[in-house]
Amino acid sequence: MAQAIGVRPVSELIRWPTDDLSRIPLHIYGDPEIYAWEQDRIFRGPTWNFLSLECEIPKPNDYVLTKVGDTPVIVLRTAEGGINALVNRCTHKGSVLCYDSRGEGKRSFVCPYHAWSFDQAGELRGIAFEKGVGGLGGMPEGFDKSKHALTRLRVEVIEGLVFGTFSDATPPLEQYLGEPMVAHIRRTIRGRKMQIIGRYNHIMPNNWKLYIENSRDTHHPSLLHAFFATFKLNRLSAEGGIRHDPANWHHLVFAKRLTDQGHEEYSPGKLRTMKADFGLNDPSLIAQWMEFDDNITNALQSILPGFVLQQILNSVGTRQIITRGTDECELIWTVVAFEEDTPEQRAIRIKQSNLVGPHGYISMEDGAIGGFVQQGIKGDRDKQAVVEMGGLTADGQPTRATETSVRGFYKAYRELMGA
Amino acid sequence: MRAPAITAERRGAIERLMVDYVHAIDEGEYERWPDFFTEDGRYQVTGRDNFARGWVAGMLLCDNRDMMVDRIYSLRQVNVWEPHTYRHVIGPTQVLEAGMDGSAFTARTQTNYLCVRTMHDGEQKLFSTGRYLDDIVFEGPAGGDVPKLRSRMVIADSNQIDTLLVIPL
Repeated sequence: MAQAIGVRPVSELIRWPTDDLSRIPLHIYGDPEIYAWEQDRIFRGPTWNFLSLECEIPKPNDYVLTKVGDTPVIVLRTAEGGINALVNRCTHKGSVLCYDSRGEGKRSFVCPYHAWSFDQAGELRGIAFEKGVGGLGGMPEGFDKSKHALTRLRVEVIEGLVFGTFSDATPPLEQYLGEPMVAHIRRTIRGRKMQIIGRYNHIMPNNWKLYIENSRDTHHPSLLHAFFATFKLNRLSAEGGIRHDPANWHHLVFAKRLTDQGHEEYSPGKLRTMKADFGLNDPSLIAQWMEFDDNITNALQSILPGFVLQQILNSVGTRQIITRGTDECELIWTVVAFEEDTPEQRAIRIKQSNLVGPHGYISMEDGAIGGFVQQGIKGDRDKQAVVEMGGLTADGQPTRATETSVRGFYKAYRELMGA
Repeated sequence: MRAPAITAERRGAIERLMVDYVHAIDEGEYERWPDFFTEDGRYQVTGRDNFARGWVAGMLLCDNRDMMVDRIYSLRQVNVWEPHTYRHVIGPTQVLEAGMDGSAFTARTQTNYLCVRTMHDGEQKLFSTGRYLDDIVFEGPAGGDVPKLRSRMVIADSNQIDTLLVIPL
């Protein structure tokens, strides 16, 4: 337990309106006590959290700062080449040890406050004036430095994606992800060497769960994002589907743009998002090459709790949710190229970064819509959201006209929260 | 870098371009925005950190005027966003370099900006500060008298964007 201190038990805080997964009580998007439990039971619970890309700490003694939920974390490359993750909190008074978002040549971490120093494994190695001055003061004889190490996360890496977990109960990463998720991560990265080409820090005016739901909401893209519908990039009438891990915690939704057969619902005038008169003056924006043998042109893979691996045409990247209190969150978008890309392929990826991020043709609405929900529910904490499309359960379905993945998230949420 | 040789007339024309640009955006005349650029003009918004690290896939990238026209059409007709406007305040323009490109007069300049966003309900927020790093070419006969942006790199000081970036900075 870390944050939920002096907080009522979860069973008193959350009342699920139904036994099935089809209703979400709206007060969970704004309750600080529930938020505290989420930090402990989800982000610091038996989950693997995305920390960084391996390519951000290429050399020994490099480090970057990140967060797991609210908890600040240092991700570092050890002198021997391994990767460690340590909570960025001095065990003396609690100050952060590192306050520059990245650095190199860092063999030890010395607190700016009283110069306690820690090694790359988080062990407390030195205390300034440990023996006092002139035989006076200093730490008592029996003070055991080994009991004051930094909190260390378990770390595992898959295809250059670094994950960390606080809990000893979390199964090994690949087991946690499940075979279909591992297969899709390997299919997307394919052992290629990543190069970051851009990063966007997207502040969203909504509870973190609303974005996670959005990333798993498989029937909203062509309804909310007119760009998707109009250019037939991700319509429900294209071949696509949903895959999930055996536990239903993680979800993959995909579409194959070139298989779109059309549907009556997309007839001109029926949906706001079908703009018959919208053509791009410069269609090079959506020109793509078939990067993957499976012909999937749009794939979003959501790994519980807050990670998304994205492929939008040829825009490949990661999205990481950072919590920022009950009513706000940050989505960190990182778009990548691969070392083996031709200059033309790289140029396409750069151009397609127009599709994603806070400025993205097909993603800017996700920043707006979470805020719309957060505004709309303000006075109605006793009400509930209805997520019944495609049934009441969270099983895999051969259609995207369903909310099964959103229910899957709440299945996991309820298991983790114990309520 | 040699001292930029630039006449008072050309300097005045560049300053008018800077001012006219922000007024067009702040008054919601978005359709005028692409006209500040040359046909093959480039517009990119990026964060200071992205820029420093050579991460080239900035936010909002248009590498010709058609892409800018598409952005504005999309802003008007396609994208969903809560109505808001910008108010830019710009600082004096510093001329970094001036010279000739063939028969056309060119200048590289930088200008600080501050942009406040006002939502439809009146809520105001400091949305972005940064600098415009511009490559300007004078179009027209005999060295040209109409300055246009051949490239505008908007380098925002912060990499954070609140909610969304739909109106160009």
